Amino acid sequence: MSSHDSNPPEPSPSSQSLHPDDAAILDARIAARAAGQSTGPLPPGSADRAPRVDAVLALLDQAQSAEPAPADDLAQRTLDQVLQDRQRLRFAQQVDLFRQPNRGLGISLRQLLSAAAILLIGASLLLPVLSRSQADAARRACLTNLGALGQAFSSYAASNKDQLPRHRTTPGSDWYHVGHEFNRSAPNATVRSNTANLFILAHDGYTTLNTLACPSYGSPAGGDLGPQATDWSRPEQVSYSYQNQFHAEPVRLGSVARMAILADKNPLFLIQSQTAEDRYADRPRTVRFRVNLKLQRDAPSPAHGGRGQNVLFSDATADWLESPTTPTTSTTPTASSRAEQLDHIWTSAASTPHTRYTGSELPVGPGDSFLVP
Amino acid sequence: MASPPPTPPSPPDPSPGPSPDARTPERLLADYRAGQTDAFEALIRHYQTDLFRFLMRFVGSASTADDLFQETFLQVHQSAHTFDTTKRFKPWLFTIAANKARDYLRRNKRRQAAPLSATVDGPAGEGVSFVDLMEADLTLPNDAAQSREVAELVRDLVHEMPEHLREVLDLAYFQQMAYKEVADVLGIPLGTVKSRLHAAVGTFADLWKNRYGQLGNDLDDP
Repeated sequence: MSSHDSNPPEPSPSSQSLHPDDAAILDARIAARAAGQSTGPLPPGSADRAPRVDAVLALLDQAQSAEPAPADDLAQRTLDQVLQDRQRLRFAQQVDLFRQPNRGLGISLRQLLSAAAILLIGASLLLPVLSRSQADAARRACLTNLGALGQAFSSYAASNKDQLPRHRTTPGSDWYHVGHEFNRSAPNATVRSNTANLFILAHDGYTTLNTLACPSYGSPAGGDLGPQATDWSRPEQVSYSYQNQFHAEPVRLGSVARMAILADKNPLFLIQSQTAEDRYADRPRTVRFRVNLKLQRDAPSPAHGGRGQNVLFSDATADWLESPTTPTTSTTPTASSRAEQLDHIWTSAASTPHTRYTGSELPVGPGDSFLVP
Repeated sequence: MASPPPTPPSPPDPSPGPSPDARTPERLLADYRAGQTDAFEALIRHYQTDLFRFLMRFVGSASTADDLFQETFLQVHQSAHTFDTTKRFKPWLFTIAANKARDYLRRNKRRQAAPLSATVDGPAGEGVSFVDLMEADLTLPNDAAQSREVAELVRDLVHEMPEHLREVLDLAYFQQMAYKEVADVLGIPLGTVKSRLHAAVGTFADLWKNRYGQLGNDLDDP
């Protein structure tokens, strides 16, 4: 059947098979692959036909490159389920053991209950301590990351007119669309994600995606550093909030007093992929922006148990702050910030407790810390 | 009492997932049975890409494949004590996965893309026509953009194939299992595995030639 015939009827998928010579070559190839070999012996006289069979198999190999990879956290979720099941099983076994009469354990019920109570009390004392020490280790590792990122920012600024990393941005554009694709080299590219500005540090080789991932989140660093990549793929991959770069005037490190430029994630703004299916899209179809109305603007980041946040300053030092405020350095302080002498790093200095955020707000000037998303 | 025969050496698993643990899958499961939780995590990560894609091809949905992946390993954990460590782990894992996938399709009353035909499993000559690959013109594209397009076309074509052919193609070709292992996973005779694989490849080649043979010719045009 020629491929040039108009509208040739498609063969019934269940009635086709291979020419016996081709089938023999296919069997040989399958046997070689199963044995872990790229090639293997072919049936005699099959030299002419083998390339055609190999061409079909080469086409089939293409299919795998178009298939989605599993979600980044699939292995962890699976393991969590299995561990929960183990716990349930152990508990059920303990209950069964407890229920069975005349087990002849050699100890009385009172002794057993006493031992259980002691273990329970011990566990309730010990578990928070263990949990706290793990959390402290993660917090210290995160602080170390920020210290390294301070060096990365300094190196970048030294090569880029003393500026923090930023694309050409349009004041008033949305800054929360993590994963929004754009052509980095196009003069009129529309940047709609502040994390794309931070991503420059990794993409241009000043740091790694691992360093830009807070250890408290547990999962490996997400993101892709391919030549066309301009941002993390989805908001769930982003660990840190970065100085809002959508103001017309860039932040020049030599021109500002010590200001916060990077910190653990801003708790006030909830930015998520729109649906569960977006987990498997190349890029989330929509990213949802919401304000966490339950929180005040001095709420701590959730990254480290809500006890505070690690903050990187423009002088490349990193500190742990229990409150997300720093002495104001804004060149155009507002009345409220002047009165408080404090800069809230999660909000613009122009905002008030009644501000209704839409995800396009700006810092009042280069010295106003406003870390997003 | 004679000791059980040693575990046959596993051919290198072509799993693209990260597998820094040097232990074999059979060893990992044995260690898990002995209480090492990290061994089970290593097993999950070793197979996550291969098994996920196998399930995706089977049921056609990434989110369903995600759920079935978890159910499969939950079953592996619950049935770990029944696994014979002298045998290969991969066919056992994929047997569980295939059963989970079939159960899902049955629950959701998914119909075959084409009716089952007894002729494909019967001896050659009984209503089966042969595809001669010497007549096929299957040109591969030269650049990355066309490769991506071709990859998606190939993937979609494989998805359209009848389930009984697709599962054999998946296990024997994409998962690189031996015919005997495929027969064990699917619970069918070895001869049936061969004939279905031949039919799968022949069907694929013929469909591609009829649908996209022109694509191959266009790619050669200046």
